[in-house]
Amino acid sequence: MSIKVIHGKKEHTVDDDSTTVEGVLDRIGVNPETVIVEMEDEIVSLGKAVVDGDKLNLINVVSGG
Amino acid sequence: MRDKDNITERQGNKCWKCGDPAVIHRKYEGKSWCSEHFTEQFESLVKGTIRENDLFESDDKVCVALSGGMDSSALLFFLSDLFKDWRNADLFALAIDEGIEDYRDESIEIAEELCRDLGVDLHIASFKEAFGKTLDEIMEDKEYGCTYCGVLRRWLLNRKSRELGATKLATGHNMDDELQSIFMNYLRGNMNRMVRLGAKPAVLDNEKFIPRVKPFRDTPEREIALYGRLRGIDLHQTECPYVDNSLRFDVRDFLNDMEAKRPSTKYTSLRAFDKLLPALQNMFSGDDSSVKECDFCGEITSGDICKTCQLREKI
Ligand code: SF4
Ligand SMILES: [Zn+2]
Ligand SMILES: [Zn+2]
Repeated sequence: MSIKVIHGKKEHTVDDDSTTVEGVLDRIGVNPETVIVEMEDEIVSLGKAVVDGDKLNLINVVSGG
Repeated sequence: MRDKDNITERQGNKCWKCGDPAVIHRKYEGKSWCSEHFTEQFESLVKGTIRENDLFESDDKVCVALSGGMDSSALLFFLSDLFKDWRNADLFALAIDEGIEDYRDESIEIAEELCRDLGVDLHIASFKEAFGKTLDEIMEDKEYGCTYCGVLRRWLLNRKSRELGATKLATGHNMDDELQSIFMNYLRGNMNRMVRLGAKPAVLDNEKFIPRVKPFRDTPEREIALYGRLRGIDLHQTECPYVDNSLRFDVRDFLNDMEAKRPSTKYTSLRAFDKLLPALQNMFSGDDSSVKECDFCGEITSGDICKTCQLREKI
């Protein structure tokens, strides 16, 4: 199982048994409080199931100035 | 399967009201929401903050401090909709152009586009015009941009909004900003500064001061971003080159970690502070009597010369 994650300029590939968006964020060490997650241009909740080949786009929401 | 994956099994990924796909699962309340019901509930929560704190009068002239960032853009969007039904109230936006290349120029473009779309008047006041220099020019031989920027911006917002006839100055401060300020003041021992917090901070007894209001003060930053995104507002993602908020960022990360580990930490902390606030206001209520007008610029200050005029000497 392989999930691709785009987070700003960073790109991660998660190869393991994560079954939800929240699980994927945990694997790459991103606090769910700090991002909104999109899959195929739709915003999804942390509980959304992920399957092999899914691509997540993370949008930072914490302010910096 | 690890613990973090259990959310789907326990709560599903469907809106608890209608069963549509959820855009958010709020752990602190144990419910998932679809875009329509989240938006509806978000707006009703903000209206609750406005009502409970009497943030606006029906004939107010409200100036929204618009940076082009998500919080203030979402606030302008929300208020322009709300004020459609308030026939005697007026709403306009004020953006401060500090003069930060590749940062503020981008966010001002977003602000201009948003105001055009919403049919709201936008006024722009610049550091260059008010103080003779852009922040970039000021910072050529200095450190700690935020110190200069914060003081000069507050001064300019107050003066310009007053000149434009505002009776209230609405800012996009959210729950996370408020909690960070509470914890930072506590860590620095600045208990008297905490009386300036709350959705409607204590009003200084001087007609030169435009009262501040914070309609999003009870709303988490992440939910404002989600609301804005669902309403089609552009999210300005560039970071200010001068950002130097080390303590604020430490506190922010601490609170986000706590919230992820112990959902509801933010709500509980804010509600606890709200219980303390009246006692703090009582304790420090004498402080307002020290409000004077600056010998140089005439704006309000606690000493003879305001902070802005002191900094002006150095720039
Ligand atoms: S991060 Fe600091 S310098 Fe940049 S806009 Fe904010 S207050 Fe001003
Ligand atoms: Zn729904
Ligand atoms: Zn002054």
